[in-house]
Amino acid sequence: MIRDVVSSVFLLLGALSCLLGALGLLRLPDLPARLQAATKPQTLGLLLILIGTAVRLEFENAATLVLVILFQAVTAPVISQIVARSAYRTGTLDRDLLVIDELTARVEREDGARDAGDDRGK
Amino acid sequence: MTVVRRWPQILWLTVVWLLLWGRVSPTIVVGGVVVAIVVTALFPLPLVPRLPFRPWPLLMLAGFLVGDLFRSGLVVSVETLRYGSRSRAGIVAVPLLTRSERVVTVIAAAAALTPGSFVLQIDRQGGLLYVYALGLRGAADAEQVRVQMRRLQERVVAAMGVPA
Amino acid sequence: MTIVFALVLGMLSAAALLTVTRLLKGPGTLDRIAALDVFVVLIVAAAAVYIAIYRDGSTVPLIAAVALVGFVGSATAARLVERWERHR
Repeated sequence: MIRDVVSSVFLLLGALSCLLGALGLLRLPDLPARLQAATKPQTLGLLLILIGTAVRLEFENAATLVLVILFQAVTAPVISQIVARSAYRTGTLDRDLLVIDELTARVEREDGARDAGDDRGK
Repeated sequence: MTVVRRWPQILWLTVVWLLLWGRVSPTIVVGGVVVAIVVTALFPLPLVPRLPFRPWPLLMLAGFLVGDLFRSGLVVSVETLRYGSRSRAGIVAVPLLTRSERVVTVIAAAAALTPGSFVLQIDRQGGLLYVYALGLRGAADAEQVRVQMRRLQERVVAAMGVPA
Repeated sequence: MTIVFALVLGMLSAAALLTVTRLLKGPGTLDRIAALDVFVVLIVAAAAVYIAIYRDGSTVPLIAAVALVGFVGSATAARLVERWERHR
């Protein structure tokens, strides 16, 4: 009985988190923001659902679910990292949506300094 | 006999094997060790000096990261619901606390679990991390990201960092 | 319990629908990769709920396998996109 209640709470919270993550994936304005939604609420949601499921199983299968949980917690950040890096390198980041951008500021400063140097050399 | 020197990897793989089976019996343990040794011998990872292993700070870090995952799930959801397509972000430069490449790797992975942010670029010469953060509105928020990232770095360095 | 499962599956289906919308809209290949990755996570979640409903552990290895393969797929696809763009 108490197991059912615990399991229900985890499953419901997990599904809600997954739903909010999917909503973020659809509504947020650019790729890195969408990746945030794809990583955080999604991972949290899946973890909660897996815990909710593990509570209802005997130990033998629950152990494997723990493995899936660990695996998901390790791989989700790596995926968002790789995709974000690809986005940044291929120049698909929408700079207009950034309030502060210390990276582009630096790249431009360095390019500017190099151009100034070239001018002097002429 | 480099396989023997890779015992931590063999131990890890055996634990994974046991979790896959979900029970412990002599046959499964022996089978797991054999499979782990074969995998380690067939696909050797480069042998590098081992990072310090401090169980208690490592456990604290794990707990901190679980808490962070919950907070970030909430933060990103709230951002989605409140601002949606009008949501804004920023890229903030954060000074690195360590020079060790492997520790920086762990920091970057851990940063992806903190609320609304991940590492976009690492400048190792300059000792800077460029962190993307969702939901920035102004300079004060950028400062908060820096404080947050410094706390995270301190925890990672406490768990496995080496003096630079 | 039945109501709980209905609610959970309903929310997951809605999430899947939103994800597929993003998958179709794109606009970039990387957006689609991110959407596909989320879709795989939702499949794993739905399979977990199925296991919870029937208390049937026989599908657990399937979940482990899908979670693993999904990771390798998304990572490879993202790397591939990066290479394409560079060759342009």
